[in-house]
Amino acid sequence: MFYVKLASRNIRQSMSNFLPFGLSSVVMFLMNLMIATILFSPSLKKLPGWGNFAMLLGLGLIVLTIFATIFMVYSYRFLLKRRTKEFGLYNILGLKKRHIARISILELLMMFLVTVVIGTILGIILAKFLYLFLIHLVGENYFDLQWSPLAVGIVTIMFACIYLLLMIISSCSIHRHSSLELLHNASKGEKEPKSRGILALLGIIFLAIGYYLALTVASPLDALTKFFIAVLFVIFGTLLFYMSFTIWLLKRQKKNQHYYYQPKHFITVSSMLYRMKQNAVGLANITILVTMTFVTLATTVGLFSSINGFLDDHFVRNTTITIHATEPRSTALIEQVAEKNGIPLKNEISYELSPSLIGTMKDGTFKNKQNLSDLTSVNFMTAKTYERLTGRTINLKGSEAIAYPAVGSLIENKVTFGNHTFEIKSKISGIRNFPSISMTASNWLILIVSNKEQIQPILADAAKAMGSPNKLGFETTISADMTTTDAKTLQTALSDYRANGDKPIRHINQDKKSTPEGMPPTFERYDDMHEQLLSFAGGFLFIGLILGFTFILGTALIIYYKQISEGEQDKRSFEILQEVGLSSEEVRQTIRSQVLLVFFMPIAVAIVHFGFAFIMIQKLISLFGTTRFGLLLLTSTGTIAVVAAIYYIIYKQTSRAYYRIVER
Amino acid sequence: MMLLQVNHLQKIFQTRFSKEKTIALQDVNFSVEDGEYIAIMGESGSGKTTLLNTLATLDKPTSGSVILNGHDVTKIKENKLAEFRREHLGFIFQDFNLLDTLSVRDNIFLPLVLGRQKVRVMEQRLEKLAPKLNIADLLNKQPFELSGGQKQRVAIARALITEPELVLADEPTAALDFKNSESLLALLEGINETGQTILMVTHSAIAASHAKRVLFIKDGRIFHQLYRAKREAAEFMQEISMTMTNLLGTEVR
Repeated sequence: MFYVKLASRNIRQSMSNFLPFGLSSVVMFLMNLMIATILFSPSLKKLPGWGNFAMLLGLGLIVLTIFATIFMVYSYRFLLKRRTKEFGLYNILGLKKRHIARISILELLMMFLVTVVIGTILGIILAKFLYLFLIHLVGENYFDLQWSPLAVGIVTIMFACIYLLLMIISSCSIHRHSSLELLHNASKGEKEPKSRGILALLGIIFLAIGYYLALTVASPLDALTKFFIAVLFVIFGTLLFYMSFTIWLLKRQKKNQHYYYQPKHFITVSSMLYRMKQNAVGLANITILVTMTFVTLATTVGLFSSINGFLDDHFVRNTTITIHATEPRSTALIEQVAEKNGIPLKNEISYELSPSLIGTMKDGTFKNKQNLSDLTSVNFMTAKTYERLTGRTINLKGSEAIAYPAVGSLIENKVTFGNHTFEIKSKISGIRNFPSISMTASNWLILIVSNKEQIQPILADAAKAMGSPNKLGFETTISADMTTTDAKTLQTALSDYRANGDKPIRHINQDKKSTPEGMPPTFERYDDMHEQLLSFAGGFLFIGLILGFTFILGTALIIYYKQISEGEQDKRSFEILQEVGLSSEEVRQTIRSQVLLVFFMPIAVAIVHFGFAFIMIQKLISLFGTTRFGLLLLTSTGTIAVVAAIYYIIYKQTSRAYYRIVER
Repeated sequence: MMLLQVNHLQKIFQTRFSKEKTIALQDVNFSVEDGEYIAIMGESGSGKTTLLNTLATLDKPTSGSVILNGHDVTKIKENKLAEFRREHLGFIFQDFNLLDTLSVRDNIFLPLVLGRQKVRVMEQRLEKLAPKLNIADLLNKQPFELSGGQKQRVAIARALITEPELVLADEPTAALDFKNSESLLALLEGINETGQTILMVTHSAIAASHAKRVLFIKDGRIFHQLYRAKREAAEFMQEISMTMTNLLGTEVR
């Protein structure tokens, strides 16, 4: 009981030390709990496409847990460092280390209980608001979130583990130190760090590799696989950069006497150099967190805001029906069924395309080889179809072709498929009444050729490569505007038909003896697709915003800890400086330039990191259309501006705390 | 020539929330000749640190004036104070007050760097000063690598490098052992012999015995002074000790 009293008294008395730790603990608990509550709530299952959400939320929860663990350890070590003196005093006054460890464990236990109680209450309330926000993002109207005891249980256990880790850390640190060391831990002289050229070089090399990976990404899928490798290189590169490159740079500045022996640089360079060793990790963490915030927010906002553009490019009309049959037969069937059901086909468009050949395109040669990092999908269109769609006449002779690289680009003037080579007569940037983007995660090339016959051997080869015994026939796509009910009726009516390439389309009940082979017509509707994408991208944006918010909060707390601990270390130095003859105005200037450097360095490095990440993000999002570069750039700069503004406010606030400590 | 003149100096502390006043200095008058070595002696709480802080322009008096070389330092504007300290005064502190972030050389250069002095001038002055203080070998070390005596010699170098009119020393031997104290006091005496005016505040009779004149302060008042004249330090110290026990022991009204 005595220890309990002592522990609770400690917490109350050094509130200024415990408050930031408690705050970060509660906030981390809150973020985790809110996501877990939504994830485990039965309400989630009522959303369309909840599987996607569940996956995203689960992923977000994992990321947040890792982040919370790292962050809590960071906060706690800061707290512990400031309390070593107090523990040392207990030790000298006659408490055994075992007892001190017990006190610190009891303190942690109390913090844990406070975290769980406050976190749960706030979590349940705030999760409701957050859920409303999610519902709004995905355009649904089911607003009731039931809270789940399971979520509270899981997050509590998670945090119990984190606190157990903290208890181990605290016991280890208390047992490792002798009592005198405990007393003096806070004030240890340190040698100026050595500049390690090899590490500096390694840091630069790591960054270069990460950047190079980002620059050389060829396709969306390639970006997906390379992204994590690049991220790892950049994280380690950043850490090494701060640990050695900055020291190397500061040492160089110090060697330059005329630069160094100026009041402004003298104090800044020497104290930065002195502190860089302990600062490097903090600065690297801030940089990585800021970059992560940029990337998460830019990606998810970019994704969310490109949905409409993507759908507009994909849908020429609000409903698209694809039939695996020739055009005259397909249109005849659709029009006949539509008429029978009294459905008007407004603004009807139809075109015929070869099935997609999926493979790799290199130096103008197409191979039926599926390399996931670089896929190209090729469709052939006859000149007749093109003329009918656009109303233009074209004149193609022999193996001449017109290329329309809808997604990706085509540089060569020849395209070779096996033994057949097409001369590219011209390249066009669009076809009227024809989508400019496909649903496959690849480049998309449309070749307009004079007739079907000349591509039969190519299709036969492709069929062989795919292992299909049947010949690949042309597909017809019919687009028209119609109401949702009409589309549903038409879809039901058409679902009984089977199309099979060049063979006639048959009704399943036409022949009693056997069901005809082939596939029913497929439907794609703008509204359905919009709903699906919105639920997907909305979920992404939701997780992105939560993670982004948590990262910024993490950054804020790290900056706060840094400023406070530095302020305390610097207090004495600034007193001495003023006694020796530094005016208070100069003190303010010195602090400003010092803090500004620490403030701007992470932002500047993060922006460079993000610049390279942008290339990857752009590739990833090009799955949703290549033309939205401008939009992505806009959302990215917007994100940077918002994050920088928030960061600036945090910096201002914490700087004030620093001034207050240092001022005489 | 008169270097420093202190006239009717008074300092009253008053806390913000209570009416109770503490008189730290009352009607302090004394003057210092150029080239003198003065020790101000008193117990802790006697007002000697307040007096030193006032002379050092770190603290403003409630009334009275401090005239250094014809300028009243209590009238200097807040934003010119740092510059004034840098150019006219040198400081030696009880706990050395070296900056951990700077090397020994840079610690000594500090006031000159703040005064935007040329690198060449700084180097020249240090070259002359370092052998005298026996710190030539220490210049490239960090303060935490030095012993107390070495640190204080570095602090003296920092005080002297600006070639100040007056060196103010606050208990310079308090953190040193006997042997280091002795050699430091001999060093200060030697510096004074080259013409440097020194004003030292101390409660140690040994330290005070190396000065040319000792002022005694109690309850914020100067009430006695002793001249060393041609005497040996040991002999002078006995008189100082006696004065301390006799005069400081009795109540002063």
